Amino acid sequence: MRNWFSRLGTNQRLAVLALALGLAAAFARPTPGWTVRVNAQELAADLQRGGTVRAQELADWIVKGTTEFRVIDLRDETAFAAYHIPGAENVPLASLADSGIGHNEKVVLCADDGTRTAQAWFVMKALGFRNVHILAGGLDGWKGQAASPSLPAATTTPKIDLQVPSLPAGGSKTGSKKKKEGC
Amino acid sequence: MIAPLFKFGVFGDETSLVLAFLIGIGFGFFLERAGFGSARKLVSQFYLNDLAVFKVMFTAIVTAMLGVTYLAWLGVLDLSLVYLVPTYLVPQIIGGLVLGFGFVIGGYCPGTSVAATATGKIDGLIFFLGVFAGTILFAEAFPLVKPLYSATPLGQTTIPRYFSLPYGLVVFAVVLMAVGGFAGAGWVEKKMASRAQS
Repeated sequence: MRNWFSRLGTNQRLAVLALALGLAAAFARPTPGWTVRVNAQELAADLQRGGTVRAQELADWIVKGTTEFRVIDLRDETAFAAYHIPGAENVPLASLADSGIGHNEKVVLCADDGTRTAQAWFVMKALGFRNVHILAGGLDGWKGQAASPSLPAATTTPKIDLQVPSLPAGGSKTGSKKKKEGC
Repeated sequence: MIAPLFKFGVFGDETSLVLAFLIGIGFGFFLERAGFGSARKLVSQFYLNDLAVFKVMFTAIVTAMLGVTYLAWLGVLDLSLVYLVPTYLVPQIIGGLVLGFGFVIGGYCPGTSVAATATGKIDGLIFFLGVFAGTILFAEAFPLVKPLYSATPLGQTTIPRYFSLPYGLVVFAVVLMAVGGFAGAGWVEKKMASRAQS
């Protein structure tokens, strides 16, 4: 074995090394569980900064086709199937840790209940997610302000059709859907 | 490279600009020393005489990928915090083709044209001016290009995530691809050299 390796040139040795490291990586779990410390001061500072996204703002992102955010709907499956924000993903509170959301991805949380989103915000912050926001006014606010706004016709406010309840099961990434798909 | 130190407030904006300048100089120096400041060397990969660019690029990809994988494995790096440029499939394929055509026609890519300009090569300077003019033109015409620019968005995705494959398996597949590519490149180079002699 040693003889065989010593007969190789530098390039071949590096290739063997890369293959060995690659092979080991194939069996590795690259993201072991991290221990996360909750920094109360940081949380408080975040709260002071607001950490919310207005319905109008979110509607604007969706209409523009921006992909750098994910809308996470915390309600149960039935409520989600009946109606959800276009492109939203249905993730129950308990599944937030292993939902596959990147820790630096911009997340907008929504639910009918303000308490639920606040709980999820804290859970996600504690799990090390950096860019978590709450949809101000929840889904009721969204329906009132963005989905069917009572604004003059001349404004460019995006209108999103509320009447398409049938949707394939399971969420998908925000932005990868068409704007008017499944509300 | 300097992102975490900047982020954690070890230094401010001005120092980060100085560091970016120094890193840029270092990058350009090594490009030039590797021979990548010469259009002849760069385009010879398209004639299959010298596949050094291909080998350097793939070496960089494999080294960085293995480094990141093992740092994540050791718990030093949180992969989910690494910023990913969002994928827009069609515009990025078109962009790749435009860059490729420019590379074949002009003999440089944007980075190497700057390295060539720094060593006084006139073709490098002309290419660099072309890049500059193209950038301004793109910026001015952006409202027209925008629908294409933001078409087919896939978000911040990766191959393992998109195809639901284990991360480590994709790492191994890329290493295999690189090693196979190096062996293939060596074989092609020898073949072309013997053809040139005969």
